[in-house]
Amino acid sequence: MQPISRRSLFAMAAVATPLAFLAACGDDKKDGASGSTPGDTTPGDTTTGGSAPAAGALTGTVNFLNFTGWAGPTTYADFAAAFPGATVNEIAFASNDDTISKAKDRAGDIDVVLVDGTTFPRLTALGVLAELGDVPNMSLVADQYKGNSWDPTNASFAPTDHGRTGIIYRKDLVTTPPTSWAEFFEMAPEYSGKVAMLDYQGSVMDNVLVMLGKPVGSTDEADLAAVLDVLTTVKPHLLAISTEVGKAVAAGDSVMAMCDAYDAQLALTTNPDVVFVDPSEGQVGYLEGLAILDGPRNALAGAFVNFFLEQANYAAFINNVASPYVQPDNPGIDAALNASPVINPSAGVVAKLQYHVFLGEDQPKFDAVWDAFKAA
Amino acid sequence: MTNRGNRPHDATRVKLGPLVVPDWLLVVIVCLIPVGYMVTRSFGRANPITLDIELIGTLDPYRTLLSGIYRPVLVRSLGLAAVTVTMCLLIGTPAALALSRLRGRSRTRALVAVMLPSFVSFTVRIFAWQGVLATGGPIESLTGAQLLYRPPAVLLGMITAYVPLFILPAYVALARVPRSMIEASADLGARHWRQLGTIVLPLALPGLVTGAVIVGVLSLGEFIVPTVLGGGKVLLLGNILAERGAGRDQPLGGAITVFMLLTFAAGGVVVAIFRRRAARHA
Amino acid sequence: MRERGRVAKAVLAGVVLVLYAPLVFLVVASVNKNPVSTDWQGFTTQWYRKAFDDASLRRSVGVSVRLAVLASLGAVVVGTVAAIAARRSRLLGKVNALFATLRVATPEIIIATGLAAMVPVVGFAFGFRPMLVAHVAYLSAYVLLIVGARAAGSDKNLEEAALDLGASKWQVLRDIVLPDLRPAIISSALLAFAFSFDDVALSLALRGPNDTTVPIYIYSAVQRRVTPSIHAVGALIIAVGVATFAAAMLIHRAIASGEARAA
Repeated sequence: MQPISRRSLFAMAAVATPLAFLAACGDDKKDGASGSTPGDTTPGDTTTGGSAPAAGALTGTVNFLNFTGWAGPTTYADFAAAFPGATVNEIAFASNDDTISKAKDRAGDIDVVLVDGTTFPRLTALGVLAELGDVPNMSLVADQYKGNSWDPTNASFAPTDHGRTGIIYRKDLVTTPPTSWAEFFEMAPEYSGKVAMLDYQGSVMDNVLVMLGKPVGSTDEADLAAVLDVLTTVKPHLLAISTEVGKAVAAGDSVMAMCDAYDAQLALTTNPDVVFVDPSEGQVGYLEGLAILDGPRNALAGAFVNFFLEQANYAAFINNVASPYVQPDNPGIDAALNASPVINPSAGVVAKLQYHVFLGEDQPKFDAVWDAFKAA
Repeated sequence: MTNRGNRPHDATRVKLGPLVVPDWLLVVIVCLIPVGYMVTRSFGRANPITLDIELIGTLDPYRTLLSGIYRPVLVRSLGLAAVTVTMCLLIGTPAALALSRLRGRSRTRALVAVMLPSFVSFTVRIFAWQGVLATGGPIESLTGAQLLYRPPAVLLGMITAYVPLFILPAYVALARVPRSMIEASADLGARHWRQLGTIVLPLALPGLVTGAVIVGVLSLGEFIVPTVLGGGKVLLLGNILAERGAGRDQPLGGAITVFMLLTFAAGGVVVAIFRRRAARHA
Repeated sequence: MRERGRVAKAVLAGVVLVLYAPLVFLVVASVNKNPVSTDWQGFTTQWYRKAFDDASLRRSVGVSVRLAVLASLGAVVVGTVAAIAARRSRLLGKVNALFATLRVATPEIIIATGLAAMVPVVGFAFGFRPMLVAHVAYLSAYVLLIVGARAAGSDKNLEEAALDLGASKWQVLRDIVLPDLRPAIISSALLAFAFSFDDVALSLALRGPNDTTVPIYIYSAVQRRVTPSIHAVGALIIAVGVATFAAAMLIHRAIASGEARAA
């Protein structure tokens, strides 16, 4: 019986050590990326524009905070091939507040972030943003997505994609299709227990404000009381307040929902009976883009932003994620996406599109209404 | 439990005592200081833009937490934890008992069967339940019952998440109950249920309490199961903590921390009284 | 007497059924052509190919395994040592229990938030090391609870008899105390591994740029549903879980058979 306990420790160590070692090795490869394995990808098909600056300065790793996979299938590898000695390290986006805490004082060592109009002003307030510098491919972005309230001079925000909240329903399960927010809320009792609501407070509350004819992001007390009234009235009829309403409608758990465009697109490719509607009152959405957090790799970060917007790369990104896009004339975008009113909305829809913004000091008022709705 | 007379303390104690230091050090650095820090936040005001906290000695976060909006949140969170603990006691105890009665290989196999799923990411398992229960999924196709986003789905999710965590300590405790005692009482004619109630369960009580405490505590902060499987129609303390309490509303997060710690302290007192009584009866 | 335990066995079987239903679904869904798996559209392995092609995912598996192995080892060492140290002292035992309960009782997200706010203040950088320390500190509480419970109930007479017979303290520890605690140590190590592998809150709050773990990857991916291979990822996570569990069981068996031979 004597040697057992020691043996057990050795056995544990014997299994654990190689595992940890293997994992550590996998890690090192990416840490030391500047030096290692440049021959992996042949830099034959460099697709950047003619404006590639001296390659000497553009080495190292770009830390890119992004939704996991929210890029072209080979965007990062292509960048590494186009800029020998440079790599991209994708950091999985978790939440806006997490972005803020990691951006403060460069605590998270992040170089490029995907942000929208709600987070960008907070980064500005923190004073952590760098200017984009020379990004020739910004010229490919349509003017209507530039000059936004949070970055009027396009100094630090390079738009990449947008989205909007609309209505999806099942045409086989709903008799009279909803065409407006007002109809959506009116029909809810008829389909009680089969209606789903999006779980993004900004999208939901702003769209109710649009329906009520109030300004988006209003924190006027009467306006917020009216929003809360609409929401608490509909609440008993809701099946779910969820970020996955597309799935619920496609499956048939729900027949009608408030839904974002990218989610709707997936729902209607999996079930042809799903229909997406842009409500007649107009709608609120988001505009996302890349921004650079000031640091030691601004030039490389700028090169990455430019690379991301480069025509072929951008088309690969949009074709991969099936999101509404900001380069309407890009020839590489799939015909199916181009023809889809969800992904490529009409000028009329885009004209009525407004963006949710962060409310700054007034944000807690908005939060309180949402909590009251959820807690009701 | 049982007091083993007043034998002199063994000699190993003196030398080994200081070995608690590394753990205590970690507790202080990684737990007490951050929690204390969060408690101080509860007397402050947050700048929602930059997440900076201004400590102004206000009690507003507590007032908010006890106001009309959030009272149902407190009640529902406590309710969910209570239901989960009850379910674990009702389901986990017999399951642990069955485990402890198995012998040899079949015991190992059953133990493996119970513990194995816990090695698969909790989030992944909960999202998988969504697929199982969705319309068109296996349950609805076979039985026609639409369970997703309804209370049974939440219960199934909570069992998936928490019962194994209860079974493990409960099993360890039950397996330690000497077989001789069970057999002796059987020889004395004690019936199965009486044996359970008077000998087995009281002896295993510390393990059951440990399991219940772990489950109660974890489920009080739970929000993923109600969100993913319950349709997210209720607001829970965990939601607020996860969505804003760690970010732009740390003062409210701090107040929730204090509330939770007080709840656990109250629970701890109850458990202590209960244990002392059980010990006296044993 | 034959009937006894039938109810308990049925409950156990029910629990196992509930635990495995989602896992079976995941595996089936991972080879379903329908990306959201609302119905069966035919067999495919394309989601696995996509998952294997995903460099971010591959790296996150490496990070998660490394973190969970190191964290559970650390937690077991720290927790077991503390449990043994305190097993004959009421005071130490009580403080241990209090500290352990405190850690378990505090929602992880509170600890995570507090830590995240403090790490930069103390001058440390976010990254793997703070993550690891936080995991060890948090998980050793579970070790302490499980191993401590067993240590508290251990038979003192045996140890004293051994000491009386001239065994050294080290021998007593090695040959009597540790073998007695072994089931508890192994159980708590497994639990710690599972918790660490699964953790979102602590890892998320303390991670540096290279520390995306699998749960963080999933957390991010589901927000935009850009990864139709999510079921395949889930099935792969099952595989990782089964593999680690199998490794642990093999160790367990090796020890047990060694014990049987020595006995």
